[in-house]
Formats: sequence, structure tokens, C-alpha cells
Amino acid sequence: MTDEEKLKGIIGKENPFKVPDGYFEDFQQRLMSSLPERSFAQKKPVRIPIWRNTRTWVSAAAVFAGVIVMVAALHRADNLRDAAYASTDDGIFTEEEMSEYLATSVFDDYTLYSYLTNDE
Amino acid sequence: MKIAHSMALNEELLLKQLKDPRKAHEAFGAVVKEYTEPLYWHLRRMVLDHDDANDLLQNTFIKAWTNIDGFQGNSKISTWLYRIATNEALTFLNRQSGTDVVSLDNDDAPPVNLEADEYFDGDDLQRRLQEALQSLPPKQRTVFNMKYFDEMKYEDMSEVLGTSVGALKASYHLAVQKISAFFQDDI
Repeated sequence: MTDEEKLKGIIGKENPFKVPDGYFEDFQQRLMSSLPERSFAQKKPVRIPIWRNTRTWVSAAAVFAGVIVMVAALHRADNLRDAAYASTDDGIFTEEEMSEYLATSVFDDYTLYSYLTNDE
Repeated sequence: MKIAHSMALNEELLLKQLKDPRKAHEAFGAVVKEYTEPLYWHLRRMVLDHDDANDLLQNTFIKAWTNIDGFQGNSKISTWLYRIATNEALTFLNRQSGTDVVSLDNDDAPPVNLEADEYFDGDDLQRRLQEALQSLPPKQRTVFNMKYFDEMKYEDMSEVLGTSVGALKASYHLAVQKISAFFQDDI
């Protein structure tokens, strides 16, 4: 048992003081009716420059526009890539397409071979 | 009477109203209603005499009223009021004892005669307790009262008294020991 607990056991927490009847109610009424005049701090109206006021919205709009442009650019790149692949469906030439291409191309066999082996 | 839980009012709104000329009087009425009793008992335990406690309570509220604009809301309104009240009481006790500085270990307070006090209703044990408390330096007595009777947290007491939590704990522990020694025969 601590000293504090021992002390509580002896002296308890009883309040031995009294106040006159109705003291607290009277006090509040007396005090409120006798408060001195008080000068209030004059608040100057705060003028916020138009730019500072709209800066947040302009910044947000710029970020939003940037995101839109970026998404549009990526979307366009995807479309172009899809278009390139569209001729071959899955991007791989069929044997018939290759033959047709070779037949109409201006490459001779040597040039084509060099091209395919990167040996220029 | 715990300082942290006694405020049922919305502090932020209340502070705004206290600084608004149209609403300040009514808002201050709410503060007075909320804190009259706890502050009175806090002061009464410090100075013992009802009339002195009454004067100090009135000074406390008037100081609060005239200095609201300087209160920035960095602490709770309750803490601010307790600080004003405590300073008022310590200054009063200080003046009574004729010293300029009230420290945690200054024990020059004059004795108070509770026998003649019509608003003291305690038995012999209570009278001895007040005697024991009077033997403590005023600020240490304040620490004891705030912790033991008001059940304040050390952190709140630290804000009110401007003393570190460590120093308050040490002071309270010492006060408990001194009062226990006073009641040695009863233990």
C-alpha cells in the first residue's frame, strides 16, 4: 500500500467547507451584472488577392488538364499500335503475305538477307 | 472536478463567441456557470477563508473577461482559468506572508484560525488535516490539493502552474509524506 493510499484511508476526500445558501447562483448573477466594459479587438478585413484566392483552383485545373492530355496521348499511342498490328492480326506475317510482299518488293535476295541478318 | 472533463462546451465555438462583441456576454455567462464551483473550491482550499475565496474568484473572472482578446486558445479555457485563479491565490498568499516569491518549498504562510470560521464544518480530523496542509509551502499545498482533491492530471497541473511534471510529482510525493507524518499515530 502506497503512502497516498494509506492517507486516503485516514483523511478521505470529504469537503469540510461550506458556502452560504444560494451562494453560487448569487455569485453568477452578481458577477454577470457587474462585468466592466470591455474593448474588443478591431478585426481588419482581410483582403485576399484574386490570384492567391484562385491559385488553388487554377493549380488543380492545370493538373487535371495535364492528366487528361497524358491519358489522351497514351490512348492515341495505343490506337496507332493497334492499327499497325491490325494488318497482321497478331503482328505475325502469314506465309502467303510474306510471299506476296517478296514478290512485289524491290529487294533482291542478297539485300533481303543482309537486312534480316543486320549485316549491311 | 477533473479539469480535463469538466468542459461540456465546444471550446472552439466558445472562444469565437467570446471574441465576438454581439455574443461575448452570453458566452462568458456559460463559462461562469461552468466554472464557478470548481474554481471556487480550488481557491477555497488554497486560502481557506470563504470571503477571500469569493474575492479571488471574482478577480479571476474579471481578469479573464478583460483579457479574452489576449487568449489565443493555445490551452484549454479551463486551464487558462485555473492558471489565472492559481496566480491570484498565490499572489494573495504571498502578500499575506510578506514575501515576494512563492516557491515549492517556501513555508512562510501564516496560520489560519478555522475555529472562528462559520463556513468550516469539519470534525477534529478535518481540522488536523487543514493544520497539516497549512504546514506545507503554499505552492506545494496547491499541488497536493490539485492532485489529491481535484484529481487533476500532472500534465494539466504543469500547464496551470508552469512547473515541470517531474517537479510536480516530486512535490506531491513530498507533500503526501509530510501529511502522512502528521498523522503518524493514526496509521
